[in-house]
Amino acid sequence: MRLGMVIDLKRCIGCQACTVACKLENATPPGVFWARCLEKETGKYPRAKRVFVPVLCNHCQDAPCMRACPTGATSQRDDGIVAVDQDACIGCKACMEACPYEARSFLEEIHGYYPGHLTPFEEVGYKKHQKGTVSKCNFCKDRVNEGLLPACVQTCPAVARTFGDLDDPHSEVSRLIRERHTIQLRPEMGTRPSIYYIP
Amino acid sequence: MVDQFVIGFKTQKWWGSLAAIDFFLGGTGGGTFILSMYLGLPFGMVLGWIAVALGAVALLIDLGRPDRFLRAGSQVARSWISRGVVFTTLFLVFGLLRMAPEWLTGLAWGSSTGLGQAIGVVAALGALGVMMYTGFLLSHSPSIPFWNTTLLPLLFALYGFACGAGVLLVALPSLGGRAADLKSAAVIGIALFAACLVFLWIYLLTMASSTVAAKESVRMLVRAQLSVPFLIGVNLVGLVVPLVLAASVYLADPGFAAASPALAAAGLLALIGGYLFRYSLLRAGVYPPVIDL
Repeated sequence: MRLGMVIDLKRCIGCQACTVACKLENATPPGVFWARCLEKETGKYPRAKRVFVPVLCNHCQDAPCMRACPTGATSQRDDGIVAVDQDACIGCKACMEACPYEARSFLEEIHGYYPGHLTPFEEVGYKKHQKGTVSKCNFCKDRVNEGLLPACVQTCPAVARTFGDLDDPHSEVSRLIRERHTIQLRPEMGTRPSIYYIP
Repeated sequence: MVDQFVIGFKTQKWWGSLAAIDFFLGGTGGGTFILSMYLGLPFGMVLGWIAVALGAVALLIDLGRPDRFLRAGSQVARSWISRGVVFTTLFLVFGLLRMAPEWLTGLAWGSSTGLGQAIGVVAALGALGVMMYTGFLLSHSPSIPFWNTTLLPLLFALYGFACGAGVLLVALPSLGGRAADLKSAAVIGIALFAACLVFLWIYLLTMASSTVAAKESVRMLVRAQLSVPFLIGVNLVGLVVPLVLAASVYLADPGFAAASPALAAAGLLALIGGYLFRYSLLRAGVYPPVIDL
């Protein structure tokens, strides 16, 4: 089994619902975005347009972050999810330098969104995060373990994201990859990402 | 924060001054130790050892969780940081053992015995590893094209030796060095400053005809925000002036006492340039856009 995602860029409207859903699900502190939607304006008036590209950890088959990690804190599960064990992370940031996708965040400080105090949600949610370590998208592995979809996939109002088993030829992700033209981010780096994009 | 939501070139921002200090001290310490061992200068070996130890402290301070540093050497099979921990430990231990006979008596080995020389070889290999592993660390990942070249570890090794020569030029007069030692250090320094200058520009020219992100890094160094520290600090102050100064003094051959201040100045400038080289290199690390649009 290899879990992966197909993101249809023609459907993405750049609403950032995935960004917010990820923040809610994973209680990430201010400044930390495990999933987000990048944008770029292309062309000139009157034919200018904005392009939105949702990005997250690509859970690469040949993950450079894993090779860089000196403690084994970054590891890959049998289902392909690349996860960070924050108890083992020493915060050297070698994985952040190694990642071509800007997918990782360093938790320099952990403070709440409102000055002076943590909300009850933050008090519970921040227990997952350790100051001085690196964190990133883990495909909502706790939800996946329960048979649920990652929060960003569940939330997308444009149904731009499809999640499933890339090794299953009958899965929706495999069908999309087979039937539609797909690209990957920075394929020349040889990371073999598990995220595919329909341009 | 807006930068996180835009597609475009991004400079790396997590390894800065502290990492540059670690790289500089490690490289300089290793180079100083090896050159001192070759020239038979015990005080030079001590300086090199101290520099590497201080570099390790800088690395510890830069960690997010320094309390967990013992874990850092556990992935030697795949991580250059783990290998660096091994090289550093090897050097600190065997370097100490190599230096011990210079100050202690009654040891089972001496600096010229078979065992002492074997210890010296291991210490030198450790020092070489400390000098080069940071170059491999940067070059190993394909994410920053400007760093992703086998030229980088070689450049780091050259710079390590050049800065080592710089340390000797500064320190020899104060450490009871002989005229012959100073002359040897000057000759080695001249050769290394010239080699660094040539090799640095071979590296830059190679990267200037490489990928778009690598070209952007070169542009930052020679025409944009890093041009002052790089062109003036690294090249002029750090290599050209020391080279010209050392070569002039050597050719004039004025004698030890007269030559020392000028050579010390050359050495100090080379050290400043050596630090700025690592700093500029780290600051010029550019990620290409995640997608071409």
